[in-house]
Amino acid sequence: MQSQTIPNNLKISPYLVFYVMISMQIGIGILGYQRIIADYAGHDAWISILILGVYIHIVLWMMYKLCEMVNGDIITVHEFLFGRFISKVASFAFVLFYITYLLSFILNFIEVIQIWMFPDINNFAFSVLFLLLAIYIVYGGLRTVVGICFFGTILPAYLVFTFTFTLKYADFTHLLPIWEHKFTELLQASYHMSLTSVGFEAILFIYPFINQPQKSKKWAHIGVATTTIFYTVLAIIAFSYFSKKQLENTIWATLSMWQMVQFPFVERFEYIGVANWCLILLPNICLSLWIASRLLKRATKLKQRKGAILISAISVIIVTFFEKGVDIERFNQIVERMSFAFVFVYVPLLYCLSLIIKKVKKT
Amino acid sequence: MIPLSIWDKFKKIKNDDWKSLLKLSTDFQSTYYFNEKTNERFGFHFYATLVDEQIIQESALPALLTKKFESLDDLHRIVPIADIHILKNPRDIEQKLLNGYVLVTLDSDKNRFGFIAAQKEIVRSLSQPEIEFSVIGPKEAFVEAIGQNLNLIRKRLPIKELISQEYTVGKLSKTKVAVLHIEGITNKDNVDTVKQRIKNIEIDTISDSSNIVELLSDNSNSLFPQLLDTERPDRVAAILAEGKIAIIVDGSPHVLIAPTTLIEFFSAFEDYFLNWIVATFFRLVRFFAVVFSVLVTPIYVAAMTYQYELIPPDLLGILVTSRRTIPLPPILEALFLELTIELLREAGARLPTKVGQTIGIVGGIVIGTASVEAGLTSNVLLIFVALGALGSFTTPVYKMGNTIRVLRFPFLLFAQFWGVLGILFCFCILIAHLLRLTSLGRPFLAPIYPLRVADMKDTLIRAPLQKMYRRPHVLRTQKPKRFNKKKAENPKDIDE
Amino acid sequence: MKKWICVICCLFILTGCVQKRIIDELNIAVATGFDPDTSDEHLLKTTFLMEIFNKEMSVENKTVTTTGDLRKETLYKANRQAPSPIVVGGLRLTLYNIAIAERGLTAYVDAYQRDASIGKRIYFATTDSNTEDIFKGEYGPQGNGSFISDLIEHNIDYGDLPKTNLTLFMRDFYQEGKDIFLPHIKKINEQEIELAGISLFKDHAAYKILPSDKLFYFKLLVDRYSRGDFSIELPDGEKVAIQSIHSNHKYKLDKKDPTNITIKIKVQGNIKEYSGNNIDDKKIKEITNFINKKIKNECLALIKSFQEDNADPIGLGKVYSTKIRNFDYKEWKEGYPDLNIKVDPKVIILDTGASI
Repeated sequence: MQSQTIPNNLKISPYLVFYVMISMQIGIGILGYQRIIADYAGHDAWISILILGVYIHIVLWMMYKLCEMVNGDIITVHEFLFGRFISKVASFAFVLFYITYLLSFILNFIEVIQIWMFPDINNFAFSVLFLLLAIYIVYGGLRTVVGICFFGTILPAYLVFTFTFTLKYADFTHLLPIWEHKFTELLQASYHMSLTSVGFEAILFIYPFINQPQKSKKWAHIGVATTTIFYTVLAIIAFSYFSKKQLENTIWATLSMWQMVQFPFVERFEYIGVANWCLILLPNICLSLWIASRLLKRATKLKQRKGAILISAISVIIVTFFEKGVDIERFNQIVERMSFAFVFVYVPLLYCLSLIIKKVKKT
Repeated sequence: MIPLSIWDKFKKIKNDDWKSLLKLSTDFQSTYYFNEKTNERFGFHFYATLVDEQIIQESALPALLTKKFESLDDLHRIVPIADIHILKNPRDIEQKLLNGYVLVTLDSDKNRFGFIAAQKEIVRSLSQPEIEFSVIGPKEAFVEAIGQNLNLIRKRLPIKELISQEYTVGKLSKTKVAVLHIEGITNKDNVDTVKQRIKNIEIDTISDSSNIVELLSDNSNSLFPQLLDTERPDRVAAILAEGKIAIIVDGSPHVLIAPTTLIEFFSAFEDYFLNWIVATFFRLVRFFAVVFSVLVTPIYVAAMTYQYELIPPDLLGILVTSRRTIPLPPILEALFLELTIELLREAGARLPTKVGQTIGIVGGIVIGTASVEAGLTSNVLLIFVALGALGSFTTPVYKMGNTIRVLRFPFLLFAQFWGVLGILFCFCILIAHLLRLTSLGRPFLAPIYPLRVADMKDTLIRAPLQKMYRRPHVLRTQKPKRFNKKKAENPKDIDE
Repeated sequence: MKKWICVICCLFILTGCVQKRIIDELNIAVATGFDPDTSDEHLLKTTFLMEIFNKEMSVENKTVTTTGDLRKETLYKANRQAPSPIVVGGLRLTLYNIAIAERGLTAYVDAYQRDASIGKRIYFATTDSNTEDIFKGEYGPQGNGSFISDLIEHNIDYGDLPKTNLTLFMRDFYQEGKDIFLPHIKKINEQEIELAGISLFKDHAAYKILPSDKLFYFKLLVDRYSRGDFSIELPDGEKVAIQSIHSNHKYKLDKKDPTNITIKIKVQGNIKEYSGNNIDDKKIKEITNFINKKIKNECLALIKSFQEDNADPIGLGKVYSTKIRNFDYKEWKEGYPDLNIKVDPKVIILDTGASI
C-alpha cells in the first residue's frame, strides 16, 4: 500500500473542511431545485431534503471510514482493494466525472446569465475567462483553492438575509397538510435532490491534504448539516412563497424570489444575485479542476499544471458545442444519474466491499 | 567600475601601489608628516569629502605629531578616538577609506595599516512624519542616516534582546541594511528568510528602501506592496514587539516591516492613540471608503451601460437627465474623469507643495465644473469620481493608496464588458490574487484566511489594548503572550 | 508572458460583444395599458407610457399606442414610433381595460412570467376607461406611471386596498381555490384619478367591481391591516374615527362538519376623533359592540354575494385544501355556495386619545 506523503505546509486546517463542504454542495442546483422536487412530492418535498440529509451523513461517514482505512484518497482505496490496474481505471473514471461536473456548472451558469442578464453572452469567451481564472487559482495549490472555498462561502453569506424580504409575502399555510404524499414520492424527490446535494464527495480526494483528518470529521458533518438545513429552509420559503402551480412554471425559484428584494439603492436585486453566483460557483469549478488534474497526475504522471490546462481546454471545446437549453437539460440528467450512482450507490457499495475484503485478508 | 577591478590587480602589485589607483580621484588626499619626538615619517591618507576634518585637525593630527609615536600599536594609546583598527590585509584599505576612515601608514611598519574613524555625518535634523502624520502621538520621523534611525528605535526598546544585524547590499552603492528583531519573540524562520533574501540580493545600487521592498517581495509582479513601510519610530517599535522584523536601509527615511498582511495597510498607527471605539469606527470608515473608491465608478458604468433596471425609479430621473446631453458612452466619460483626477494628483505631486495644492483645488473645481457645463461629463459621475478619489486618499499607507487608485481601472474595464457580472468577476480575480500572495511566505490575507478569530482583534476593529494580550497567531512567535491578561484586567467589584 | 497578453486581449475583444443598453439611449416604459381594438375582436391595442425627464426635473408623459395580437409583437411595433428602443425593465404598472379583463387575463400572464427583465413588484390594475386616455392625463409632477403606482402603493400600506402586486397576482392566479382580484382605477377628469374599488375575477375573468366603501371589510377578510383608518357612523348619529388599525383573521373549521367554517377577525385600533361628547368606558363598549356588529353584517353580506356568484376571492378553497387531507377541489367547488360561513369579529379599542 503506497500512500502519498504531503508536506505539512501544503495541508489545510481541519476546520476549513467545513467551508469546502458548504461551497462544494451549494452550486448551481440551488437556483431551482424547489420546482424539481415539488414535481414529485409537492409541498412535502422539504421532508425529502431532510431524508436525503440523513443519508448524506451516513455516506460521509463511510467516506471517512474508507479514507481512514488506507490513510489516503479514494485512489489509494482502490489500489488497496483491487490493485494497481483497477485503481488507474478508477482515476480515469473520476477525471471524466469531474470534467462533466465542471461542465455542468459552466453550462448552467451560462444559461442563467443568458436568460437573466445577457441573452447574447459569448459562451466561449465566458468559459475561457472563467477557466483561466480557475487555472490561476489551481496553480496556487490546494490552499488557494480552499481559500476560494472559504471566501465563496463567507462573502455571499449575506445573501441568506435577502430571503427575509420574501417572508413578508410567505404564506406558510401552503405547507399544510404535512405529509400528504406517499413515502415513495418523497424518496423520488430525494433522488432528484441528489444533484443539488452532491459535492461533499470531494473529501474522498482532498483527505490526504487535511491536517489531522480526525478533527476534520466534525467540521465535515457540521458543514453538510448546514447545507441540508439551508436547503430545507429555502425550500420551505419557496413553497410558502409560490403557489403550487406557480412553482411548476418557475424554473429558477431562488432567483425569482429575489425579485421581491428591494433596497433603497438597488431596485432589482436579482441582477446582483446572479452576478454573485460568480463567486459561489468559482470554488466548485476550481476544486473540480484541481481534483481532476490531480487525478490525472496520479494516473499518468502528467504535470498538474499541464493537466489543468488540458482539462480546461477540453471543457471549453465541449462548452462551445452546447447551444440549446434542451441539450443542457439532457446533460443535467446525465450528470444527475452519474453523481447519484457514484456518491450514493458506489461509495456505500465500496464500503461494504472493503469490510468484506478486509476480513478476507485478515483470515 | 574602477573600485571593483582594483583588487584583482592588487594580487599582483606591491603593497604600496594601491595609492596610484586611488589617486585617480581628486578628493583623495595623501600627506606625510614627521613625529616630533621620534622623527618617524608617517602618512595620512583619506577622502577629504568623507572625513570630518575637524577630527583630524583637532584630535588625530596633534596627538600623532606631538606624542611619542613609534609603532602603529601606539595609535590606541595616543589618539583620543575609540574607533581605531590596525589591519594587515591591504585589501581592506579601500573599503575602510570609503567608509570614512583615515589611513595612517608608518614608514617603519609597512606591512600594517592603521585606521582612525573620522566619518563626516551629514545628518538632517528630525522632522515630523509627513505621510503618516498623526494629530495625537509622537511627532518624530525617521531620517536618512541609518545610525540615527537605529538610535530612534533603540531608545524606544531599551532591551538587550533587540538584535540588529547589518548587511551591505549593492555592488556599487554598498548600502548598509540592518535587520532588526527581538530575540526570543520573533519567529526564527522569518528572520532567517529575511537574512537569506537580503544576502541573495544581486543588484548594483539601492536608492531607497522601496528597492528592497521590490527585491524582497514574494511576488514582485503584484500590484500590492508586500512589505509595510513606515516613517514612524513608534510604529516600528510596536511592531517589533509584536514579533515582526524591521529592515532599515541606509539613506532611506522609510523603515520596512515584514511579514505584513493586507489589513495592516489599512490601519493607521494613530488608531492606537485613540479610544478603541473611535478607532474602530474610523477603521470601518476607512475600509468602506476604500471599497467605495474602487467600486463606485465601475458600478456607475455597469448600471448605465447594461443594468438600468438596478436603478431605483426615483434616481432614474436624475441620472437620465444628467446624462442626456453627454455624447460619450459611460465608460469613456468615467475614464475621462478618472484620468483627470489622476492628472491633477500627479501634477500636484510633482510640483512644489504650495503650487501643487493650488493646482489641486483650482484644477479640480475649474475642470470639473467646466466639463459638466460643457456637457462632457455628467454631474452625478463627477460627484462619484471625486468621492472615490477622496476615498482612495484615506488609506494610511501611501503605497496602498496608489494600489487602490490603479485597482479601479481593471474593474472599470470589466464593468464595461459584462456590467455587474464583470465587476463580480473582477472581484473574484482580485480575491484569487490576494489569496496567492504571501509576505515572507506568510499568507497575505491573514487573519481572514486562514481564519484566526483571536487575531481579528486588530483588523477591521481595534480592540482595547488589554484585550490584545496575544501576539498575532500568524507570526508564530516564540512567546505568544504579550503580557499577563489577568494582571492587566485588574478586576474590581463595585465600591471597592 | 506575451502569449498570455495576446490571449487576454483577444478575450476582451470577444467579450465586448454583449449588447449594450445605455441608459440615455433607451425609452424606459413605466407603464403599459391594454385595450380592445374596436375594429377587430382578436386584436389588441397596447399603450406604452414613457416618462421623459426634462432638464428642470419635471416629467413629461409620452405614450405610444400600437395594435397587434401578441404582447411582444406590439412592443416591436411600438419601437417603430420611438426614437430609441422601448424597454420594459422599468415597468411599474400595467393597466387593463375592464373589457380586456372580462375576456380573461390568462393570455397576458405568460409574457410577464417569462420575461426576466420585468420586475415582479409591479402593479396590475383594471380601469373603466381607455388606458390610453388615462395615461394622457396630467395628474402630478412625478409623471403618470409613478403617480398611479404610488397611488396604489400607499393605499396598500395605509388604506383599505389588500396587498397586491405581480407576484401575489401570479400566486393567486395559479392557486387552486382562490380567485384573483385587482385594484380598479377610475379617471375623474384630466387632472384627477381615483381608486374606485377592486375588480373581482372568476376563472381569471373579471365579472364585478366591488365599490371602494366595501374595501375595508374586504381587506379584513383577505389581508392583514398593519396601519389603516376607518370611520363609522354610530346609531345615535355621532361619528367616530378609528386609527392605526391592526387586524388579522383566522379560519376555524368545524371538526364534525367541515361545511361549517368560522372566520375570526381581530381588529385593534385607537379612537382618534369622536364627534360626540366625552367617551367613557360605557361608551367604548357601545362603540365596540356596534362596530362588531357592523363588521359581521358587512362581511357576511360580502361572502353571501361571493357565494351567489360562485366566486372565491377570499380563497376559502385554499383554506380547505390546507386543512383537509387529499382534498378534492372540484367536489368542494360544487358545494361552495352552500357552505355555512360565519364571521366572528372581535374589536378592541386600545386607547382613546389624549383626552377622555
